[in-house]
Amino acid sequence: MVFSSLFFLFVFLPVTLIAQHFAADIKLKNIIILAASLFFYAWGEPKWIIVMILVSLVDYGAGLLIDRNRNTPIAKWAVAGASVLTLGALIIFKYLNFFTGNIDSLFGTEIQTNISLPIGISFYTFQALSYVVDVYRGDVKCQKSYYKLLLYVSMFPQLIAGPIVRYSDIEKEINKRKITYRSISTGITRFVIGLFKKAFFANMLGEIATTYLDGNLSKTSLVQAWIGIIAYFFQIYFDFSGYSDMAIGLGKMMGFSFPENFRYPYISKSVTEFWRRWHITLSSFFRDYVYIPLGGNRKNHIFNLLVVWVLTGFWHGASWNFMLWGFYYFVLLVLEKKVYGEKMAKLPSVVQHIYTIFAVLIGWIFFYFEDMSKVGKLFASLVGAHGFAAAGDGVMFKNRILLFVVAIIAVTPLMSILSKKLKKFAKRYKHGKEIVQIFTIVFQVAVLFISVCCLVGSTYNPFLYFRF
Amino acid sequence: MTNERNPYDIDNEEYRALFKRIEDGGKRFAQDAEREQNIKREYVEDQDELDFLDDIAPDSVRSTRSMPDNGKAPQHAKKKPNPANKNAKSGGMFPDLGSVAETAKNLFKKDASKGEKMTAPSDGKKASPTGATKTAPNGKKKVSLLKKLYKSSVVTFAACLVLFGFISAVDKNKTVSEEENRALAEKPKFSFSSLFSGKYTVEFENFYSDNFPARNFFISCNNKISDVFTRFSAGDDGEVMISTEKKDEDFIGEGVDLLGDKKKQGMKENTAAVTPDSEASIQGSILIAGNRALEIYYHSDENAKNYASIISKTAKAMPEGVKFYSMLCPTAIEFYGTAQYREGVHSQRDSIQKIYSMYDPAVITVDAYSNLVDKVTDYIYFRTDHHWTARGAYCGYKAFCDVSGNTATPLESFATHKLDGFVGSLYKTSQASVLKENPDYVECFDLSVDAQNMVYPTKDMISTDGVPTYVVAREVNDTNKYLAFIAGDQPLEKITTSVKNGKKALVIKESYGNAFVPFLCNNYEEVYVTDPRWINMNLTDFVATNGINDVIAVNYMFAIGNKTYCNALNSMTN
Repeated sequence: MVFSSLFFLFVFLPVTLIAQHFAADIKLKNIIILAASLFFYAWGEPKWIIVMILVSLVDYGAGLLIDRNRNTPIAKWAVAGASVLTLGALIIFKYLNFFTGNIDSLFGTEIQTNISLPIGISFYTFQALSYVVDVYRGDVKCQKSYYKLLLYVSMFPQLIAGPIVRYSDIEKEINKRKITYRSISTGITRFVIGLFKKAFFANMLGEIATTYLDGNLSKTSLVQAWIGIIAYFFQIYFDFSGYSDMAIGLGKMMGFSFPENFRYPYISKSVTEFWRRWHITLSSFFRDYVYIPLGGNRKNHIFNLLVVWVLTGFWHGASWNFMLWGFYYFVLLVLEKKVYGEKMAKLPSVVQHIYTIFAVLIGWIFFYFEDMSKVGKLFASLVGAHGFAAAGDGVMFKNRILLFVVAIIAVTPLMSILSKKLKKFAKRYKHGKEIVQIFTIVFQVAVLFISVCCLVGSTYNPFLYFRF
Repeated sequence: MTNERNPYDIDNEEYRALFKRIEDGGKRFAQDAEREQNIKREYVEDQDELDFLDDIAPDSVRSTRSMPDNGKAPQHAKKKPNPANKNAKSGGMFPDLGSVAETAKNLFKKDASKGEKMTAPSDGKKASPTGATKTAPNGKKKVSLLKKLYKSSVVTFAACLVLFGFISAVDKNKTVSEEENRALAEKPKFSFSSLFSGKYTVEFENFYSDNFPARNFFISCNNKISDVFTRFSAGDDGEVMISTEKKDEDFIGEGVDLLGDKKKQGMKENTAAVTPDSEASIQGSILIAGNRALEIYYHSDENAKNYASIISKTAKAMPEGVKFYSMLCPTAIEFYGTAQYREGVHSQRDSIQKIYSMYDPAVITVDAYSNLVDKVTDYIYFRTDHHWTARGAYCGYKAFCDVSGNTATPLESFATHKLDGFVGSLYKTSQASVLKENPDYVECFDLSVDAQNMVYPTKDMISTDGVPTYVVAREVNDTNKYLAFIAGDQPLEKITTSVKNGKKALVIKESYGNAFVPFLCNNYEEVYVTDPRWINMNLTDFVATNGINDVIAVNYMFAIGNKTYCNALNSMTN
């Protein structure tokens, strides 16, 4: 089940939210949310839900063990064992196909496995792992109750697409949550904005991207290639940050505060800054659990960066192109740190923005195509090797110009700043806040409505006797 | 000594000054604290940039706000839960909308009483500076307007979801979507095996979204949204390009359901297809120019060669004395598109010439193209559908008569009737509202001879399997009015006419042939019609068995690149 499915929106969500809202005490609330989360996961992954339950169980046990044997080798063994098992699950389910496939092609063996990737395994294994390590480090108290830990790992808002919530983020909220109508209303606003990003922007832009990038790349014109990759550039942001918004909003509705995951990454002035704004919970995970333990910038700085970025790339998918994508960022970040970063900062900010956007745009090409030969073909198209424009490209672009314009506005904080100004202005008036809140209600309903139109519209699937 | 003062001996003046200093310090401290608070708040706002509509101020700050001077006791939010708060929470699901409306009237009054924040309202009730909730005169515990609004926001959102969730649970009576020309997904049957394979939940979600309440309304709203954001066109001649994602296997043709399950009886499993790399950079696109939809054509040498070889092979497989004709029909964009869609790789004229030049001499080519050019100002193509009209098909008929030695019956000699309100396939795929607003009509030319049409599922034409149908319909109870001609795509049809000349023809076609076939009834005693996609038979045997004289392969330009059709045709001869 995804957040943008009608069944989620109109059946699962109201039932869960209302049930947990009217539950008598926190324990019942937790049980309802846990049950809903397990149902949510089982809906999409009926078989492999067992992996999630087992991973949580292992890390729960390890937490207890560490807690009872502080400062003894047992604690060390426990954290090591739990890490191996947790990452082992990730490796088997996500990377084994890749490894065996590569071994086959290298040595001519026939050990190719065919394991289907359980939904969200990349996210929940990291969450479970961070819990054990944090307990070991003494950053958080160990959770004595298994169902509460399972609740942390499996909580449905963040289960399948992040953000990667740390146990410390919600440690207190598992036992005590402050919920007011105001905070729920805030959560709703956040949720509908996320839904809109997904249903309106990501889906429409995605259609454009696949039209051009999934076509016959050796015939793709320069104009088509650029439109395609720019559409993807926007799509991936709206898609991913939309999911994060929905997760954060859902969390708020239930009294959890999840960490921010995106902070307008496309307004960055450098690639370094981009990664401080893009998928923040992932980069901070790698920072805290890989980069700093390796020595950070104190020793083997470059090597540490290399490890982190290749892993970051590889985390996004079990394929060479993702590693290449990570490596690409490693190169850019090292260049910025060691070569031109300081000089760049002195240039006009327009130049810095253009540089960053261009660098990220090129990065998405590696991200999009798993097939390396397609990357080559697309680059050829981007420089016009397959013609400048095909018949109809101009019309095609003109038809979608407004979509691109609103997309550009929506990736900047412009609307946010504007609304803040408006709110400040409204506060000068008696009942300004009330007016703002009335507007908020209208906004929520309108955005929900448009999103539902887009979602239902995308189920329009005419039977095509089209050609004959 | 006397000047030396006891440090504890402070006179009143000094005492006051000292006190003032302490007080100021306290105030400054308070100000600092407030500033710090503000900084923190701004930080939180920064953190929460996306919550641009959220009221960031903490509850404690908000609680000192006063109410409008409308005679109601001021209500204050309180941090700690109290009985009033509890009441607000567990009270009715819906807020008191009446009082909301009443107080809303006062909203636009500018706050003139800034200095009176803490003063009591007109009824003399004392405002509580601590922010404690007061009891209104009627004894009912009340909540602040702002709180009510927060609550209404939550209730509205919940109501939207619950309402639709509820309606969707009870409202399930549509099974077919006419707009989309397909059956809506049915509720899947539950079984543990389908549950564990993940099939059940996927099917259930499809069922749910297909049966979503007011689905057509939402789809049409979405259409309006698309008109702005993906089909934006300025000016009257504004063109709109719509890319369509199509799968080859979708193109199985459509006919009136006469044979039921028997229709598939004669079909054979499609053999693996060769996948020629498309010449087009993108899958397929429809150009909307004015109120006409045009599908963009791309030539492919590989497809052309493939098609030419299949036709040549079929022609050579014909029994001795049988004439084999091939007619390729261009589509509307060749005549109604602007130059850029007709040149180079888009030129259907060049494509046809190339293919005709590759044919084996056994194939007699039919030049429908030239006749269509002559009639380009007539209604020879639909605007909302990809087919030609009967008038267009007549151009093909005339061209066929010219090369086959038949005499074409003049078009003027036919009585005609019209089927109005036809919105065709190109609307269904493009969803461009301009097409729906400007529907086509189907012009039918009534037969001037008697003709009986029988549809059969297999080549054996077993009489008990046969179902009688029309050649040209008086009316069509389907959105696809093009079905007016020979009941659409059927495996095999046999039309017996009152033209007693002993001549027999076989038409091998996809749906472009449908409008063409009725005209042949004027020249042949028997006309057989087959759609290769729906039947499995050997053409050589069939032609020999039925004593057919002329075989005509009618295809439009998009059939050439279609694997399903080409493979089906290829498999009809050895």
